Amino acid sequence: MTIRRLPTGSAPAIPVTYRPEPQPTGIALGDHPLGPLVAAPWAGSLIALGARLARQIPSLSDGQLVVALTVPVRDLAAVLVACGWTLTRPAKELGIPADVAATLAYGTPVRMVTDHYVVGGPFYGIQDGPTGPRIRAYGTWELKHVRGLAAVPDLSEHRYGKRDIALPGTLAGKTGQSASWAARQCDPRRDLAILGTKLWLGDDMTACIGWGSAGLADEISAILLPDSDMSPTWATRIYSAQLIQELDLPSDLSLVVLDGASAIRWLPVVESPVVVAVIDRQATDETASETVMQVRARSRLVLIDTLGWQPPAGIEALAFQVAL
Amino acid sequence: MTRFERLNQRYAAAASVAARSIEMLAVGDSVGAHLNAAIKELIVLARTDGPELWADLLGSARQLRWRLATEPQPIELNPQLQEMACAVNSQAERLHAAVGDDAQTVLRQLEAAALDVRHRDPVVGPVLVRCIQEVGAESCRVLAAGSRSAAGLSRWFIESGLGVVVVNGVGRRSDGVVEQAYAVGPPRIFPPSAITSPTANAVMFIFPSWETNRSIPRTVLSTQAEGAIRPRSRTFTEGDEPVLVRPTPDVADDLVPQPTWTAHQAPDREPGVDEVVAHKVLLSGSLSIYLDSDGEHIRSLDPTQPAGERVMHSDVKLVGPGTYLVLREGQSERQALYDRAVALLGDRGPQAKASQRRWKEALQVKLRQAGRQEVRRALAQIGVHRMNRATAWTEETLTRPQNDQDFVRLLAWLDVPLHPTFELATELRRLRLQASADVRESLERALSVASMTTLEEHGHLRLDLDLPGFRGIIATRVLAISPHAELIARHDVRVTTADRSAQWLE
Repeated sequence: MTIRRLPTGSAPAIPVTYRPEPQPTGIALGDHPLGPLVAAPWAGSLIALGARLARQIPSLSDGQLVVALTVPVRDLAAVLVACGWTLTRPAKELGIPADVAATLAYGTPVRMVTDHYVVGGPFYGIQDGPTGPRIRAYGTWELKHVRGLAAVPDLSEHRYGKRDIALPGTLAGKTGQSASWAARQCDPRRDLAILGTKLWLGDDMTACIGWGSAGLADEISAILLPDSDMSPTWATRIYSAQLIQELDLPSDLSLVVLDGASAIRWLPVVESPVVVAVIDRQATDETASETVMQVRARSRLVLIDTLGWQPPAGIEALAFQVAL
Repeated sequence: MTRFERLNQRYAAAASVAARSIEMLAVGDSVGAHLNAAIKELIVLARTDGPELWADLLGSARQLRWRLATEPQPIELNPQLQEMACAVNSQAERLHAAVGDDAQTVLRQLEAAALDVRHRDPVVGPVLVRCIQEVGAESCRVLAAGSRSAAGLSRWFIESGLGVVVVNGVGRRSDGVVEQAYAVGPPRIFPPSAITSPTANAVMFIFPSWETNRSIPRTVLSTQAEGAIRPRSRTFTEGDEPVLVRPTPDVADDLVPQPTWTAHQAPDREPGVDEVVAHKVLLSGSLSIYLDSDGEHIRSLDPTQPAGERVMHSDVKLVGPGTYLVLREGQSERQALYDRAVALLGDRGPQAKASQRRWKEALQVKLRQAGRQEVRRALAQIGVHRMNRATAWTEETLTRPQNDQDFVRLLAWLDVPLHPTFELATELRRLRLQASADVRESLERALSVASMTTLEEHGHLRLDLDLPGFRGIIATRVLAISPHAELIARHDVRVTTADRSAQWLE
């Protein structure tokens, strides 16, 4: 998406923050970062839920917090909660690129964010150039344009390459994440997974969220950085729930979003501290709800109020704490 | 309209229906009331006489009543209703010679009612048309209970030029929102989504007044959830309430056609080593299987999912009416998968089979000698977590206990050498998963070119897979599950058999 790139040669040190227009405010959705966007208050509530959960992750000794939602149609609900979560989790602190580079051994796989790109590849050292020091990693880059550099020892070769970097939009700006945007792209937290219908989740990822209907909106995939298995940077793991025969999730996940019945059947064996189950009321069978209620039966009810959140009209919500 | 505007509308419609009252319009229906009363008399009779003699008559009469409530198009456009009324008449005729005087009266009542159905237009039809005309065909949508009802109503509206959209059940993901939905039948025969995920800002259910169960389906979560959707209801009546000579018996009955289960005694003993507790499952396509209640996952299909993500494994406890099962005809899929896994092992196949036989036989001997309870107790003592699965582990097709520690402790307890038993079983399990994934992929390929609409309309679909040993697959909808548990030989579970007990259900 070329419009999201900064013009060459005039790159500011920090990507531009797009300020929302005064009216209208609130969450708006669209197919394109530049709009048109339509106001969607229910979407705002789902993002807010994700944000609330990210602020108060329970320790596992208190048990697992499960929030089950029923929505009229599943579209976007899971990824919106995930966006709220991702934008609220603190970004990792990155060192100054020159300092990081000084500690790297020759050939260490690194990920790097420049004004235009996210780059993954082996680090081959720093060299002097006519305009200042340059860093050699999957090409040669002027160090002054490098916004973030991190060693990623397990970066596999098929992820080597460069990708256009998405700029922070109005939602990232509103949530105060513009300053940490480079860090989020360079070394994102990978504590979130979504299980669901992969094709539908793929469609959801292409939607854009804006704060207000003017300005540049954030593409959901730029916030969540779904793992495509090829991209040099990724954050959210996406699993096709139908394909799973035995659930084997990474142990370092903090939030697992289960989108729909085929994902929710795994609820009894998910072990992350927080789980959000999105029940599609359009589905004609009740197996998802029944699974949730079975787990609920051996758990402690948590008042939704205590999460500091209220479901909007059209959404039912139930929270409980399960001893693991 | 963009997908986001459509989503906004769906949330607004859900909020609107939840805040307003659900409306019900009960229409006085003399013909149907007499049929309904005769069916209830018949239920009383069948209860004292034993159900088998009456099963076909009761089945056909219930199906006739169901069609009267859900397919109210005029009789000349309603061959399905006529056909079922004829079926009731011929089933009744068959019984005249076999039953006593009391029963004769009930048979005559039923025959008279069926004859009336064949010659009069269902009363709900004109009321429905008037409602549609009041709102305007473009501002409303008709919800039909089932694909036959949808097809019949659709044909009628096209031929009469009314041109209103009819949807089967609750509509599709992509449907836009209209002002009003008219559902043909009482609320409880529709899934809760008709109310909780509406594609209209208001919903009205239109049905004959003899249907007295007017409960509103709710989401399972609504009893405990914040923001629970629990709409109130308002009932309107129309037409004259029919006068019946005798009071309608108050019996347990259901408008939705139910099979007549042969009442089995609950098993009064523990299943033997080669037996399992199972329930009979009636399937579309005149088939049935026995499903082991405590068994491993079974392959199922969700036709509403996109191509490539339709097939999955479901917990047998979550299988219910409406679930689509994917079955291999003639032999259970488990056996075929196991055979394929052994074949994939190549030269080591026979060695693995022998090694598996050794520990499974040792376990079987223990079970036979000490009994299930004792084995469970002993396994619990040595720290085997899932000791309740001990009997299942003797199955040839179940490669090994899921948990490594459980397996190690079990082998030690059985006095079977850990190596190479453990490795062979683990390899066999891996290959079985691989075989299962191959089948899944092949199924998805076959399904991606098959019509899901046909599947939903017919209830079943036969598929040919491009995989040796997996030809002859059927995807079929569960119609009913027997409430009676039975003890069934292990090798008979999940094997399809021809079964006509479902003939009055579809």
